[in-house]
Amino acid sequence: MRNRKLRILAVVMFLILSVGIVSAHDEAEPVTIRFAAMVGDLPAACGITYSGLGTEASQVSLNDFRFYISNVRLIDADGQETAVELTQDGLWQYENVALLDFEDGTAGCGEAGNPEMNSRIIGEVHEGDYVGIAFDLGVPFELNHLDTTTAPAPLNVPAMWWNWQFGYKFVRIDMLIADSELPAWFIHLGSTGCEAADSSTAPEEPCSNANVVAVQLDNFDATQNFIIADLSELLAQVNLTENSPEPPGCMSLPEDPDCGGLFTGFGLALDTGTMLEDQAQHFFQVR
Amino acid sequence: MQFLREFCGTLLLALILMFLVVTADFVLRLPASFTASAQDDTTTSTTAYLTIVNSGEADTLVSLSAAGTAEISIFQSTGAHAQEGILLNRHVRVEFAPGGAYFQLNDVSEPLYDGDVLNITLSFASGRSVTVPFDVLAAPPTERINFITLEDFQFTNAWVYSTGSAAALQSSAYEWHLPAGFPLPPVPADNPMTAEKVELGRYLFYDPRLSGNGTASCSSCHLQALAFTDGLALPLGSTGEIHPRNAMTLTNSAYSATLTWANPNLLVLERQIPIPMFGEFPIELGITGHEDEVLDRLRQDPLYQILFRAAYPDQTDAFTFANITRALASFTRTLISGNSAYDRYTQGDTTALSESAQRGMTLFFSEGLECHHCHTGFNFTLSTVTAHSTFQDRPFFNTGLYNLDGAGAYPSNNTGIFEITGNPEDMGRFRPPTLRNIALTAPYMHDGSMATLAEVIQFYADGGRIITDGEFAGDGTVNPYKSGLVSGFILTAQETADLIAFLESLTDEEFVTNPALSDPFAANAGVAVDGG
Repeated sequence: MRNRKLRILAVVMFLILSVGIVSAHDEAEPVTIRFAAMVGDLPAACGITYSGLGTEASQVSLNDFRFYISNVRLIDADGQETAVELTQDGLWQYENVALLDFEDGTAGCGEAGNPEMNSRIIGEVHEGDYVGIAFDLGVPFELNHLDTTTAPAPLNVPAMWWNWQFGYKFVRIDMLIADSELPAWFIHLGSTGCEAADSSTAPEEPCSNANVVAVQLDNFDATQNFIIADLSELLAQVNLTENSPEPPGCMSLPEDPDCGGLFTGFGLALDTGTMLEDQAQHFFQVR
Repeated sequence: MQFLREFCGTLLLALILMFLVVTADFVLRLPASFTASAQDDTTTSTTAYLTIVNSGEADTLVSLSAAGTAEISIFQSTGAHAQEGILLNRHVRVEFAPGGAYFQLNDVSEPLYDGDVLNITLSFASGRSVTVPFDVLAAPPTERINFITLEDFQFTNAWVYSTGSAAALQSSAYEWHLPAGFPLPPVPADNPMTAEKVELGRYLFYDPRLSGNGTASCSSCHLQALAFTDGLALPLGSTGEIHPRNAMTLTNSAYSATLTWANPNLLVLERQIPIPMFGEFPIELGITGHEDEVLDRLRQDPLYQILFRAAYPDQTDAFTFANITRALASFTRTLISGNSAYDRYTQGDTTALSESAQRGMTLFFSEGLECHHCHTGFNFTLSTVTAHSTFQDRPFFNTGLYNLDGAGAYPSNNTGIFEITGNPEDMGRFRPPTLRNIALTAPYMHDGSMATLAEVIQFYADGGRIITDGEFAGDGTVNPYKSGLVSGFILTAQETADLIAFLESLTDEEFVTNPALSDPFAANAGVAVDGG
């Protein structure tokens, strides 16, 4: 009696699972988009010293390397974009935002880092022949001014958050420059010109300088290629030996002299926070 | 390819299910996670286990019942709810055990503690019934227990496991009254908050009988009026030993990602509290060597007889240091401060902050000063954990206070988390404390080496501290392990005053005068309390 019931249950479960997979396959297929953080030819990692960065070929060690990606689309040969629906994993991905985390909390990354790392985004996309990818480096305005203490992961990382007014650090790459009078050099990319009553209040209107980097990469096949975030390319126009204090490095302030070359690397106009032109960024490339 | 892989996976699953069907009479021992996923692991769950040997004819175990439980459900090893009971074929041994089949006790009204016995009555289709004593245990029994027979049935290894032990089962679960914008703090599953434990913890916190020589209590170094600090550079233990580090504020320690000044491994209050109780280097409360004496002092007080029984109602002798620690941790978690002038301002009362404090707030959150990188969020520290946290953020920073040898050394009794990890780059790295009530917690820094907020601000403006002479001489501004965020800034006298005005606006007067957090012995001055 009970045995027959269990048998029926097993068959029914088998059918449900099979049908579910077949029908899902018709509409969307899983996709994994792999990232790697590099400094030229070397993988970016905490506690390693790299040489030859910036216009003065500086020696640099890393204290942090994290960034938020959003609005991921795959592009077919006709230039048609199809959105990637991110898996809501409760940790690295929320709505259409994902956190890529290449620091492991060791060495200098122990200051504000943590042991968890993430180098891929996972989701589903309609079946198709895709030849390129596009995404935003940054957090969309609607999600950018949450309270990090109550926001869902991955928007709950205090070290990736400024305050209610300015929202998240889209990119946090902390560096120490060897033989520099002011060795700390921070890359903190985020929105500026966010009008709010004060720093403890979220703005109601989008910030004047969104500083969201629109990335588009050709010749990308998710099954074959990685997307490389290359710090040495990003810093190609930056003189790391010059570092104006308050703050050291660039925290996205339009008036900060340290930001000019860096924003060129991001392909952003420092004064407006918009892209200089299509495909102007030098941070990401396909490999 | 993808489809083929998943198809094979499904086929495998179906085969496993088939296998279960044909072997259902012998319970398969599946990994614990298999059944765990079938249960609701976010709330307290109470499960019972048992081994039944049937050496007679087949019968069906139809239902189970026990006093104090609304319903006991039977779950098969597949995770399926066996609503019509479970068939015990003739001449079989059926095991209900973790990872396999189990009984789930729903709506348990009384808390269950390790060592308790719960009588559960089993009823069979044949009309027979038997009452089996189930031991409440924290882990599976290692040898055979509770051997009971009923005609051809033998029952052994009857035991009950409750996640979170007395947990949510307590009738008077603690009600949080959190300030606006404050998330729930994390609470360990094995020490759920109850009003009774909080109350017991409050008495213990203020009671000098909780020290070896009866002279000091937690409150000796954590005074409510000073936001639970002591106003000294370095605190004195019960036997007169000086602690090398400044007494930390207990403000919002429920949210602290790590506890004490510099220990990346100290994550919960239940692990931290035994340190001041039993630590010998240095001696703080000095209980080591006086354990029985201290417990006897408490046990002899009729007041504690009531408080311990209320907090741990089902334990025959609740006077244990584990229970004391749990109660102290529960009380400490209630030391939540979020009703300062700054909070009233952010909630819309624009008059709550002076113009000067408002200018100071802008400076505080500016990229020029960088204060907010380490003192961020509702609790004004990056070292914050909430019930919503998902990542293990445990920040520690070297701020350039010392540089004894030019190579970054700190005084040998205060090396930060280097003392724990031994990693050279951890030299001088300490936890950023909350800035709430900071105006009340002078002197400052891990060793109390700065007297005023003005001195602290000047230190950060200088990008570290230069000590010109004495045993601690050295240029902290060039400490190689100093955080890049301490890179210095220039403030006018007015700006410094504005920044101090803002820091003063983080003082919560209600917190430091709240009777619920105050000394109950002082409040009960008229009530006879046996000093033991």
